[in-house]
Amino acid sequence: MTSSKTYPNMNPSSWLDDYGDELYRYALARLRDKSAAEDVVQETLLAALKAQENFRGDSAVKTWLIGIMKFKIIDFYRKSAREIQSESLEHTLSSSEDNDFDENGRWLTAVNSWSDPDLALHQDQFFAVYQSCIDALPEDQAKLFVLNETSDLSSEELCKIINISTTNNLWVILSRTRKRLRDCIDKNWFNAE
Amino acid sequence: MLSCKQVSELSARAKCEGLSFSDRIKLKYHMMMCKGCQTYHQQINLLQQATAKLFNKPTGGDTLCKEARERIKQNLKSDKSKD
Repeated sequence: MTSSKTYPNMNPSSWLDDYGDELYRYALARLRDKSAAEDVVQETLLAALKAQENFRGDSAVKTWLIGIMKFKIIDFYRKSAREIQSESLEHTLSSSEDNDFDENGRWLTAVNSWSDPDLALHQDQFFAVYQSCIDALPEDQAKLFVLNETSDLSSEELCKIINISTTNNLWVILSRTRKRLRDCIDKNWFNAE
Repeated sequence: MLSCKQVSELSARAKCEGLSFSDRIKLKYHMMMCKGCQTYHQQINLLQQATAKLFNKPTGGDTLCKEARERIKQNLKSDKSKD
C-alpha cells in the first residue's frame, strides 16, 4: 500500500461539511460545553488533515475521524484538569452525610423494582429523560461520569485528570453518582407518578 | 460479609479495573444474599447500556453554528497553506 493511493471518500475539503455536525454532537455530549466542542472538532480535523496518508481505508472516514476525536477529547480534559473543581468533588465526601446508606452500610430506603426495564432502551423518550438526569448532576460529577463511561482510561489516569487524590475516593464518588442517576430515572420514568 | 455500601463501591471499581479473586467472591456472595443489591445492580447495568447507547449516537439536534463552522473552515485553510 502506498501513500499515493486514494480512497473514494478521501476528500478532506468536504469533511467539515459532511461530518462536522456529527463530530460536534459527539464532542458536545462528552465535553458538555459548546466552545470546547467546537475547538475539539477543529483540532480533530486539523490532525486528520495532517495524518490523512495514514488512513488505511479499512474503516469509514467517519469512524476514523471519531477515533481521532476520542484522543482529542481526552487531551482537552487533560489540559483543563485544573479547571475542574475536584476539591469540591472530594469535599462532598467528608462533609455531607451519606444519603444512601445507614451507619452499617445498609440501604436507607428499599430499592424499588422497575417493570419492563429493557423496553426503555427502545424508547426515545426514555433517553431524553436520562439525558436530563445527567444534566441535573453537579457539573464536575457529570464530567467525571461521562469521561469514565465513554473512555478506556485507567482509574489512575482518571484520578489524575480529574484531580482526585485516591482511587478509593474515585469509587465512592462514582458509586454515588450512579445512585443519583438511578434515583432520578426511578422517580422520573419507572416509578413516575 | 460486605455491606451494601461496600458492594456499591466495589462494583464501581470493578467497572474500571479487575477485582481480585477474593473480592469477586465476596461480591458474588453478597449479591446472592441481598435482594436489594441484586435489583440495584441490574438497574445499574441497564443504565450502563443506556449510557453507551446515548453517547455512541448522540441524537440531539445540536449543530455547529455558522460562525464556528466558518472559523474552522478558515483555520483549516490557513493551516494547509503553511505546508
